[in-house]
Amino acid sequence: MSDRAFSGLDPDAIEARIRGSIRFAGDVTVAGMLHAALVRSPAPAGRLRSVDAAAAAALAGVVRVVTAADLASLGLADDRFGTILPDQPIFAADRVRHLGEPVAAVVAETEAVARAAVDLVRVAIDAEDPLLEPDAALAPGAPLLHEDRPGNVLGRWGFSHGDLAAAEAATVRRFVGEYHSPAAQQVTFEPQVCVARWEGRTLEVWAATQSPSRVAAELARVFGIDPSAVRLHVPPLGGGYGAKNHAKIEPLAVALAALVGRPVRLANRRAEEFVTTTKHPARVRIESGVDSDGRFTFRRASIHWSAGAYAHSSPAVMRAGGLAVCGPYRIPAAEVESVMAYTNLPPAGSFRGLGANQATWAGESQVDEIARALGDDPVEFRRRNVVRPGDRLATGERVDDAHWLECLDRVAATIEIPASSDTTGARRGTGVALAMKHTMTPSRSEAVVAALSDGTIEVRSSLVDMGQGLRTVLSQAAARALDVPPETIRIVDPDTAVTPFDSTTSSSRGAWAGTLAVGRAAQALRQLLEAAGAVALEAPPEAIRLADGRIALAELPPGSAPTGPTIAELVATSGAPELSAHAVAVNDAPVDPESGVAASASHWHQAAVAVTVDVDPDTGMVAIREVHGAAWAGRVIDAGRARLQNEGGAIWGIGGALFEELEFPAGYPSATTLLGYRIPSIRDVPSVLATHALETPGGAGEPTGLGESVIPAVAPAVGAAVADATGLRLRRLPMTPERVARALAAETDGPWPEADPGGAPDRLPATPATGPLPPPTSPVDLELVVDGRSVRVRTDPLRPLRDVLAEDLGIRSVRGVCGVGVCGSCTVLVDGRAIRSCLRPVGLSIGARIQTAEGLPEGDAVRDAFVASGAAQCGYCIPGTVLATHDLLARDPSPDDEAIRQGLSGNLCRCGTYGRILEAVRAAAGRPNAESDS
Amino acid sequence: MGELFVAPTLAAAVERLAADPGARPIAGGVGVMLARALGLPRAERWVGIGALPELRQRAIHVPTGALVLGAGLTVEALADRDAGPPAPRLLAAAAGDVANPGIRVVATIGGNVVARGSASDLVAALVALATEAEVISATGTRRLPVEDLCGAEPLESGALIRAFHVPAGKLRWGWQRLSIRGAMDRSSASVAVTAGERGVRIVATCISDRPLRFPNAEHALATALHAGSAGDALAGVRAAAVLDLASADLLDDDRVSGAYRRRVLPALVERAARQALARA
Repeated sequence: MSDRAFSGLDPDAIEARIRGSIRFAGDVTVAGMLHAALVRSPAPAGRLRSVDAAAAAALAGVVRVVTAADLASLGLADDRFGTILPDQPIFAADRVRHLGEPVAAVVAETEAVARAAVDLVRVAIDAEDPLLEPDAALAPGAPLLHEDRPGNVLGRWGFSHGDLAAAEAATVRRFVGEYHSPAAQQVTFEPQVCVARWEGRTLEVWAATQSPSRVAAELARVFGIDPSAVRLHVPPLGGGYGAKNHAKIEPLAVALAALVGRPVRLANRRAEEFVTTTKHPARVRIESGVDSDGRFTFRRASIHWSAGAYAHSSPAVMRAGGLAVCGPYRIPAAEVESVMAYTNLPPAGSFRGLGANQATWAGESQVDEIARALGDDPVEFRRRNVVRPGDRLATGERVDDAHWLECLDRVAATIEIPASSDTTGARRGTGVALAMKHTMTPSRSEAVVAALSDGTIEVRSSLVDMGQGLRTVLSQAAARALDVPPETIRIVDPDTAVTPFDSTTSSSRGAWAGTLAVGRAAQALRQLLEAAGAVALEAPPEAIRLADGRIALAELPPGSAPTGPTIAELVATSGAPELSAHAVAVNDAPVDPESGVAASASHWHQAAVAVTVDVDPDTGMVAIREVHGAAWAGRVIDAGRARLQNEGGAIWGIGGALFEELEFPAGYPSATTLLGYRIPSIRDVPSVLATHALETPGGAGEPTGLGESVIPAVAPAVGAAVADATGLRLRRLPMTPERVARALAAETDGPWPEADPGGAPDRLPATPATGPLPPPTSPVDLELVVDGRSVRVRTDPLRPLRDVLAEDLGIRSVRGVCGVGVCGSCTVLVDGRAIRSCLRPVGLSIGARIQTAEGLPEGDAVRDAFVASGAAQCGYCIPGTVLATHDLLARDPSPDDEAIRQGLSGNLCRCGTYGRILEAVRAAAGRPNAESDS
Repeated sequence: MGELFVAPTLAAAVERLAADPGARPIAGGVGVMLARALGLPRAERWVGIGALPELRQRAIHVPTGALVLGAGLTVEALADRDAGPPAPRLLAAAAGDVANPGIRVVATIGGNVVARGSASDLVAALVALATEAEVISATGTRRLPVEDLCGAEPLESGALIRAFHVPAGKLRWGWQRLSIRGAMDRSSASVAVTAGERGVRIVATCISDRPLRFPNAEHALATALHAGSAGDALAGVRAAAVLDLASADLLDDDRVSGAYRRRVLPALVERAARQALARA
């Protein structure tokens, strides 16, 4: 069968996400399960004097309050966890190192009781001055966060290559700049969540993690049990983006379950997410030289990262950023130092675009500065310097699979933009940037492909489906190798008792690893089946082939159908419950035969981005009008999913360029809700967002993954466009209106004061990290009409309708993501109108007709349009968007695109599925959709 | 323990609020629920008024010609031109910028004014339209300018807003709003301009703890309109706005600084004035 026969979406997985029938880790319930909530440090740094839990322990429904002292009874092999570097205590014992660090936990019969009890725990801390910046933490004499980490240095990575002295001698122009990237938050709509259960010395865990094998191994290590005694299940994820890449709350849940002797569920609230994992803030200093021909002579770079209090993925980020900072250019001499410092901020972890975002913001911004300073065209400058196949990167390593020039050429053709016709005085500019991000090297993926007695082909892999199209990738890899219809393939969700080892579903490696490992296992199974078939047909193995699920002679007479045994019959004949094969895919770094040096990455994620912006000189608003992105895909397996990955990446980049920022004044987060932390809405998507996935001709390439490729290039392309429009260079992200306006004003009026001189009121207080529970009102009996059924509930009439629907009535598609009316994931129809059920008191919904996504009738035209359009990635938000579309089309059956954007402006999708959502709504409204360009 | 009493009539609501000084009215519930979600102080006893038809009137008052908008009308309804006498387009424009469609469909005008006060987009438009609020309590009814509802305690215990009275008259208007994200973002500055028979009003909200008027800019625009030199007067309006802001206390918050607001407001005033002039 041809590849084309396998192209398309995995309809079952997509449909379940759109219907809201999919079950995430947070939906798991286990018999006898208790609920835990964490007591978190109210200070960013200090000595933990006492934890007074007496009042909490006395609250009805509380089973136990746990502190670090209780862990001694568990006989842990290590009281610190960390998949790469174990430095994080399960509970803070004697000191706290960041705001929100867990210092205790309450385990109770219900989550509400656990939360209420948390507010009764009194934590006494002798606060210390927090170290908030890497430079302060690295300064001589700075107090140490970890006694065993001198100088607060978590790690250093770097390289020096080439003859720097000679390179400097050849330099005619020298450029120096310092660039800043802020902390940010991944904002997975599904929060960190884990259920843990012990049976003697056997541990079973259900977790929202991108790395089942790695987390299971870490739990075995910390709790001193054999790895085979840990069984970790991973239901489909409601968003990952790196946030779920390492152990986060899993060790806590496991410890609590051990201490209370019952299963325990632990889930973060939204505010807790902001103190659990973030993106690394970074300061990047770069010095570059060019010769008289406008070619790079050298680059020096120094990156200081803030790791926060614990390592998580910091060593990987430090290396990834160090590798990316010189970009895909022929730079004959380079010296890079990448230093990761411990600070008193929440731990920074993996973030979509890992490390390359911060480095590329700096590196590509400076490339643009150099080109403009030389009077050169930024595209031509890049064409002159970019590596081509066989060239060497700044590290000195040879790269043969280089496609940056193709990516650049693809987007460069788009940036001949007509002058602005805007009459408001907006200044228009264009910008371009390249991105180079390594892939995790080495890494390992194993797969088992099994033929079952009913003829089903089962694919067992610990790669995690989060809506990125992984199930399609795995299914197609197996179907292609075995020459069976995709509908005979069943993908098993990761379950470490069943699915074999896999390094992680991150670093955009899933498509590559899945294709290779599953393809190899399926090929091995094919050989096994053909060997069995040869016996059955009494023919030599070389005369046998498997086709369309049945054994046949390899050379059949023309027009005759295969007549040998089917796969099911072969399995039955074998006497075994299944016939299976196992295979491994490892991406070791290739070694350069000339230098003997191993490459930094088995392959590079490669992309180019071009943007057009309008800058309002009065307000500093940057409006992105067009984004064109081209990324190297190697081979596209599923064109629809590839486009979603690329578009989602571009939208992710827009957020980072314009408004995503998490500050920590005095160590306290500037935002703990989605009111204060902004992620892109459908109205932030430019009217022109065109992405291209470039392939090796003839489909001969290996799929390289697209989940992150364009992201690092977006912000520097926007920065270049702002510079083109205004002549100003911004070196600090994000490019908020105020930051742009300040830069513009500084050119003419000098800098503004940071604080307003007019006697401004104090800065508004940050929302508390965990707010107290509202006082309950008297429970009353309420009758609701939900999905056409009358139901009775006894509850607090001021309780959010969402909570009643999801928690009391079990309608899980009504997701609670933000809880403050921002995201729209909890949308339901009340008397036909789409409302936020998180902000609707249930007591005001009596007598109303409440419609949820799960209750929509079969054949619902809007939902069917979403399914047909494949308008979902992780799917956490989509049921709400389907209902918002119902409301929109009921009032305006033929909305134009602006009306759709307006109507869905309050339904956020962190995966960035907006283009596909637009198409689905158009389809539901009976409008044609243009062909995709991807 | 708290409670929710859903009032069957306006009279019953007023009676209940009078009898229980700790009780507060609740209509769409957006502000109340948001406060709960954020762990902010709130009342424990509530009187539901969202379904009361008396608060959903939409009529022309005779003989003044003023438009009467029930405080229980939803924010979305302000943009509905088929449900009765249409609201001024300025008010509809401001309403269209409130939160998101899923909130506008349940949030009420009265709730928005009381809960958001000087941080409300609607308040800028209502004040620019010289709107009065009709407040009812057990002691009777009274009228007060909308800007008087923007203090820390907008209404005394036992009171609720019954309606808003928007004076009649043909107006030119302009509306400007600044936010960081393209949608679902609180305003960093909202500016409403009206120019009509009763003069010029320029009002900004979301910038301070009170709605801010721009008397110098209003005078500059009015003078220019009177002299028929409006097209040339915009630079003067902007300069006057700078003067108006000289002594204003502007808010530093989690969106932008007061210094930024001071910088951009004159431009927003000029743009809103330009829109008003274009609507001649």
